[in-house]
Amino acid sequence: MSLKQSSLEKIILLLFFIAFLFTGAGLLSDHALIHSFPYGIYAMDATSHLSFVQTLYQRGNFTYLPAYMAGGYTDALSANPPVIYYLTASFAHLAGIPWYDGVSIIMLLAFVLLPFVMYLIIHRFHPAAALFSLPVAYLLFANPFFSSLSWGEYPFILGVLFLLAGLWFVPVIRLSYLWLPLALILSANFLSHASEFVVLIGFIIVYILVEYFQKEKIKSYFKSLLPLFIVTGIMIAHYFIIFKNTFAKLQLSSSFKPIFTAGYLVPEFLNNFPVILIVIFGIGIFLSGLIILNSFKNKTKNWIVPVMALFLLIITYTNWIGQKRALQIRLLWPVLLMFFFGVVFYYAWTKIKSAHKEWIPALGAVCIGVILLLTYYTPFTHAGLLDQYTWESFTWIQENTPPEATILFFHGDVYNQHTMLNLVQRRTFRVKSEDQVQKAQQQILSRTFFILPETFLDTWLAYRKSLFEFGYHYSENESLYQGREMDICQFDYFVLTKASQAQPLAEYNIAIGQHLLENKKGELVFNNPLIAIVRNLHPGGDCLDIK
Amino acid sequence: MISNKYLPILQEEGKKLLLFFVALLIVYLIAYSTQDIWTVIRVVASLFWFLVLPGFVTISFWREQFSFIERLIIGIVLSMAIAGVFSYFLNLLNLHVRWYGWIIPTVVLFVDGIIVYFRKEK
Repeated sequence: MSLKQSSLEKIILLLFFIAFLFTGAGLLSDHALIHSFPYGIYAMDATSHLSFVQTLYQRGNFTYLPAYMAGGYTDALSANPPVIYYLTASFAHLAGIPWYDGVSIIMLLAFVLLPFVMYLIIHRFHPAAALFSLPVAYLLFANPFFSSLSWGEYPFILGVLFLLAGLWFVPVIRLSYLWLPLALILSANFLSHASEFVVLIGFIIVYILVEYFQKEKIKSYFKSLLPLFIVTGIMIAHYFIIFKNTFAKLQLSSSFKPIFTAGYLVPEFLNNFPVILIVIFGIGIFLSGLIILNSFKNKTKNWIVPVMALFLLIITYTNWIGQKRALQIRLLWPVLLMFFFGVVFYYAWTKIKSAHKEWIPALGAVCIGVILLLTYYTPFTHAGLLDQYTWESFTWIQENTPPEATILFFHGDVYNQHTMLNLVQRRTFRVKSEDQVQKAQQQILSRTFFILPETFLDTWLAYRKSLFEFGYHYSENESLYQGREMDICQFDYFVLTKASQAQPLAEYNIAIGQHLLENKKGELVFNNPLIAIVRNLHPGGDCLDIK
Repeated sequence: MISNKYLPILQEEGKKLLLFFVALLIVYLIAYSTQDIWTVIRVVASLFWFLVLPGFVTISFWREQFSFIERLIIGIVLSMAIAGVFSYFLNLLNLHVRWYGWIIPTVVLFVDGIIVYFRKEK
């Protein structure tokens, strides 16, 4: 590549970086770095991760779950893949910004980096194909793909980022000591999201096998692979023991039955891409097959990038053999399919005979980018699940209630994304909405409701009996963590939302509050236009004067 | 003292990194246009220190094999990996997370410097 082309390439990359970051920052944070409350949070996966970051940021350590998340236990292990929490909490401290904005800034950067790492991978095939492939990644900022970020699939996004970086390293692994940075990437991959770690190991095996069948001397690979796996093994060993006894033991399914649904938006090829893109991807897949065959025949290294792209495509369909993570990885299709897009334009470009041919990929990338930007850019701004008033009530509870206080949330429109309740940092409970609807319809002020405790049960409150032996508080007394009829008078504080899309429920909340206050059984301790918090003056007593 | 052999490389890389810092600052000023400039500078400087320098300097041991753009992009991902992995161990040592952003880049840059020094001695 000439000097002029190299500078042009840098300018194009910068333009795309601006376009991606500008769009992402608009969608996620209204073009502001700092907010007065967690902004751009759209689902409870995100609030769940936020509550862990908050804990780490404030306590400084995250070996154990806080008691309020763990049903009162203080020895329950924090077993979630930890990289997202450490990266964001330490960055927030360093930059002196709120912890939730640290999450937003770091995760958007990771999200925006994805197409650029893929760009580097495709660059090894041909710089023109890489340039042509870049614009299609703009679809990341259209739904359902953007939901991977806005709904809070943070560990997964980091997992894919490390997976792609790992793929970039694989073909050059034999360079002296390059196994060392790859070992760091592999370890971070496992500590971020283990399923992408497995995909990366899978590709390393595929790569070595293809090299073997290509009659390459694969012994030279083992000189790098041996220290790679030893060092990675050492670095992940401590977390591996925890992961094996929590997520792997409790959540991995060995069923090979096809899976088609998950707890997030599942992209479908035919539904989520316009016809023109489906046609281009189809041609790209066909061309990739031809390039691989041709490369094998001529003993060139052109097969590497198409094989990577096809490998990633196949991974996104392993839901047919029971791998539900395949549905999740589809959320990043605009990145994973970049090669199939770029190779079509690259192939057409090779047929052009012009003196100015070398300028076409850059111009083409910009033109396609502009078309996609005009088609998909939406200056959408929305605060997300949380708002200023709700956040004020959360911070009031954090700062003004005893650490052992129990908090009962009556209906609020956003509390169905219930992991957000952990953000108040107290033992929280919520009235089951259906039960409150029923009582509101019957116009009964009741002392008992079906109440759900908010406890982090993904890892069954695992605790260590010894280095390799684990116990599970959840399985020792399951009923304790399940919803049941409970007397509301046993709780210390009641959180009452005064406005709702289901206004009769909000009016019911107000009626409960008024009854408590009029009978001098409660004290209004916090009040803003949306939320009132009433302290129960006699916890365990007869707080409502009704049977 | 760093030998003359490394000075031109450091100067060249330093200039490029400085240029990148300015470019990154401009990009963030555009993307986060409603934010005051001092906050943007603070955030970009933190990103640069925590998530650019450690990985970029480390991957630059293979400077002759990879272009500046490759080292920059992979360097950022490598910085994230370094920060993620070493934070896990610092957490096991019960060190407060507020120090990680200072300790990790300092240690990585120091270790990289030592490696360069002993390479020079060869």
